[in-house]
Amino acid sequence: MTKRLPQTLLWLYFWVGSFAITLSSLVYFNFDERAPFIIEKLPLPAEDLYVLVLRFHVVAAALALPGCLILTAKFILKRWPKFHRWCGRVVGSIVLAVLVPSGFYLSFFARGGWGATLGFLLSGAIVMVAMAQGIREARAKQFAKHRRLAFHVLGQLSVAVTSRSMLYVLEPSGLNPDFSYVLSLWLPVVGTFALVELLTSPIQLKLIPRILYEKMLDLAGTLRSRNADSR
Amino acid sequence: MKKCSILLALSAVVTLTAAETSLLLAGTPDSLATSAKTEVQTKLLDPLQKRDSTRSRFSRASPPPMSRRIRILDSSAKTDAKGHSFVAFAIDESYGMPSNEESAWTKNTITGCVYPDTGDVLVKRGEAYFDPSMLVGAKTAAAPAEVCQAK
Repeated sequence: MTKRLPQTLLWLYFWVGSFAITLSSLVYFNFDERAPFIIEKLPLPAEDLYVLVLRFHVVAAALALPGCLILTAKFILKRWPKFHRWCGRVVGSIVLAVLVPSGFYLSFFARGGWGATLGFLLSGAIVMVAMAQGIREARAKQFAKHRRLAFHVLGQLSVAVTSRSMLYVLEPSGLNPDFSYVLSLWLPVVGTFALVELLTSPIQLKLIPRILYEKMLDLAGTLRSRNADSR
Repeated sequence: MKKCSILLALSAVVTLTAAETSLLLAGTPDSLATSAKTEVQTKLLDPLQKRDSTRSRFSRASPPPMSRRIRILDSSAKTDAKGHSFVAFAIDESYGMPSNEESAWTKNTITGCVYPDTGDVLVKRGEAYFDPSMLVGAKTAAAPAEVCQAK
């Protein structure tokens, strides 16, 4: 129960975040007006191409994040494994064919300069490698490895939600908007990658703090017994 | 009849003097800056503020600033190739809590020029100038190349 509550809350947070992003992205489909996100990038070398790629990216993201949330739901996997496989094929195709390539193109126009561009490229590369390798592991029936890689894909897609939440929180801080933009990108990208590794790595990284604590206890015990002996 | 013509002459003198004074004042740097600021406020900042209040906050677009200020960059009007006079302006923006410190302002976030005679305001994007409605989403063509360029 204690473990399921944070998981459920996180799942809900990503669902609500994904829905909010989709709603706020509808403005990109207003053909008479430019959205603030596009206005601040003007002049663009090929505005029509940029807007077209942005629309593809938005639609792909609106399908991919909820798709990943459905794919990682245990009850769906247990009850409808066939649906899980088909959903995985659709989401995998959308991510590899549309989301990642369009994201790579858009990253070169990102606010915050090269810091932001590299952050988006890193996140996209993690998604691409994890998704491709995850599909291979699923086909090879290596489900533990498949699960770990699928969580990396979900983790990087969830950066869209966590980084916007960070931007929202940092807004009244008075920090330079470009700096807070880069910070709100890199922290979720690296943090989510580390968290997924910590929770799903076969090396049991989450046991490291416990092992360290036990070693310290052993050391303290040894020192105490030495002191007792010397008296 | 005489009284009437004296009154008429006096009122004509007063009207002429008032008109002359306003024309003289209009040419002073202070009044030029004030009228230019009024135009920028009305045609650029007010629509921008209105648009900011309706924008989604869950977006990757820059957050709207806490406040904006107008600086008129020219103390006297310049003339473009067509002989129309204009002054350049810049908008500074401040994010976060209000502060009196100069470092709290991000300078020149928007630049452009005002034509005091016509009240036209133009904003610069890249090397071209546009109608200010472009910053609130309208798709407008670039202004002719000679605008806002001193001859």
